[in-house]
Amino acid sequence: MKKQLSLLLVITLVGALLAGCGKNGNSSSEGAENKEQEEGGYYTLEELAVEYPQAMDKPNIMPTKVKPDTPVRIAILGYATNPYWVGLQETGEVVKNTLENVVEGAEVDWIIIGEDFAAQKHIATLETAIAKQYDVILTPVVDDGVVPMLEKAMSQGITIGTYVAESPGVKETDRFALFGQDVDNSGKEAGKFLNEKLGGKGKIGFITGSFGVTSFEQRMEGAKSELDPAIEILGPYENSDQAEKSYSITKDMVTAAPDLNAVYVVSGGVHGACRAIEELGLEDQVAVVGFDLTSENIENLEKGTMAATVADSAFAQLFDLAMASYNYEVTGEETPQKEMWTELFVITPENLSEYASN
Amino acid sequence: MENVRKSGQKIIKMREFPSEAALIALFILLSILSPNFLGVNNLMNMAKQAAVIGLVAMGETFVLISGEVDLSVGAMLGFCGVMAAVLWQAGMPPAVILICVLCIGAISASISALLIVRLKLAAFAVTLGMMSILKGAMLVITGGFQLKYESPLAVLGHGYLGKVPYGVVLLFILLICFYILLKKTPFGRRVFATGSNATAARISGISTGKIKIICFAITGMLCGLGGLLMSGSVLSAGASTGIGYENDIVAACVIGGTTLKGGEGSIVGAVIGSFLLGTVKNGFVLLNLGASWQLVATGSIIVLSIIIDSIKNKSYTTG
Repeated sequence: MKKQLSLLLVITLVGALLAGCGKNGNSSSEGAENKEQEEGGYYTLEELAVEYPQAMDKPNIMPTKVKPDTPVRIAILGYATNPYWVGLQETGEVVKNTLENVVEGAEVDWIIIGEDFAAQKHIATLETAIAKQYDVILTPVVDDGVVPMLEKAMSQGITIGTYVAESPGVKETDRFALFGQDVDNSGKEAGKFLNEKLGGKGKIGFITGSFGVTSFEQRMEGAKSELDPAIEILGPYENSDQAEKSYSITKDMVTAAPDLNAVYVVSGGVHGACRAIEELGLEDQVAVVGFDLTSENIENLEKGTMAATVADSAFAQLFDLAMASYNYEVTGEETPQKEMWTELFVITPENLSEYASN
Repeated sequence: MENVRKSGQKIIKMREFPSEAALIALFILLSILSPNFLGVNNLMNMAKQAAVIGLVAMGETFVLISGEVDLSVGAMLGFCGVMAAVLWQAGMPPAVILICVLCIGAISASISALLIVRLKLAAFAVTLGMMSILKGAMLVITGGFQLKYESPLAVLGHGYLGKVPYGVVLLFILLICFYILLKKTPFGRRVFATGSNATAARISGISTGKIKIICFAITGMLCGLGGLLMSGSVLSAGASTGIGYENDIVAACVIGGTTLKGGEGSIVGAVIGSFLLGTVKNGFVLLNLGASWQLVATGSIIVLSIIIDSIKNKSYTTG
């Protein structure tokens, strides 16, 4: 009996010791981890010395100071269709410099998908990125046809983040986060501006890049939802993102409707519409509304050949997404929401100086 | 009466007749349906848009008659437009820009031709490859930006001689020149001979390879001119300039009566074809019809043209 009691006591003591050590060990490692986090924290904008293009482009998310064991490999996919994407590519360079040379925690590659929004090209680019076994792939998604490839990437443990816009099917996946423009809302902002400008009546010509591209369709539908029923819509007509086609379509629309009040371009190539209106001397009659704060749009706003552009901070959305996905890979930190919408700005000739300067 | 009947038969037998008739019918229809169609401004706008297609379609006609095809014309159009902008930004005077752009077009097309003729490669594949190369080059050169082009030469794209756009004036002057070249000169006869039966042409002493290279070079130069017009209209050129235009250009040739098998074709028909396509596009906007049906309409016109041409050829053969 004594022996059994002793044995029980020893077992209990050993068990208690082991449990205590383990807990202490965990506490030690947690403590070490907390201490590391406290010592780490996040970089500041000043420490990173990030140069952002315009005042509205100030980024919000900073990278963690916790160092990963091996560099996080990040691929940023982008298009080359118009100057908006040139700006994003420059943002990609800033992200690369920040994470590689300042933070020294990642390897970043910018990969061009193509010069048009064809889903097949996007799929091929994603396949290549998956084969190269990146840890993170950041990409815009304009076509649900790409979703199966995104799911394939995620099934292989690759973190997928989307920026600029994503087609509806992507939301059903397990992607990390979307940092982008709520294209439906951006269309609504444009629609509100147009409705107010026209006083709830008149004619608007719609120009899209390509039929069937989800983000273009959402911009058009978003705008239509804000327009008074008395407003007549001409089109939409395709311009393939080309200024020359916007130019000729706009001239034809003015012929069809000499009392045309506005031209709404949801894709690239709005410069052509501005040029047509300028040539016809109709700046006071026809309001041209487009998207993005490109150098051409700034010039057209200054000249008065463009009435408004709906813009967001392309720089901030990609920079913030890149930093958030880097933090997720290093510390497991998630974003507050799965959809992080960038602020939208309706920029007119009157308020241009607030946005087009750093 | 007999003379009238014979004249009528002669007109109907013309290669360009189906496209001419279609254009006239479309004009009548649109002038009834849209009060603004026959306005001078609208007709000149339409002509200005058709001029670029018409110019390059004339060159493409030479290539098609010679028995080949050039699918890179759209990209070449854009590339030449971009190069015009680059040269202007480098401070080149208008005359230098004009000569350089025409040479760039001619050289690009001649490279394709040399590969086709010397290495006996399929024109479809070679020009498809050239199209990708030129598209890529445009991306590399522009970096995705729209390059400004404000040379005095840009007036070709947006200026007017009275009420007529300079582009349209150029088109008709060159139409006359190339019509004479194709129909009235030994060179033109050699182009037809090369396309009809290359072997027989070679045996009879025609240097078919040289003929084809010249045809491609003509197309390239006209792409250069078209690029100047296109960039001049919007005072800029970008990575997407001209992309996709090859569809309309080849379509204009086919609609105008040029066959894809070689040996038959019409410069005048190609220009009529370009105006027919331009009128269709204009009509869709004027009548506010669904633009997605425009492609259906264009495709239908092409198929109809080929059917009519085939029926005509069979009736001549069977008497």
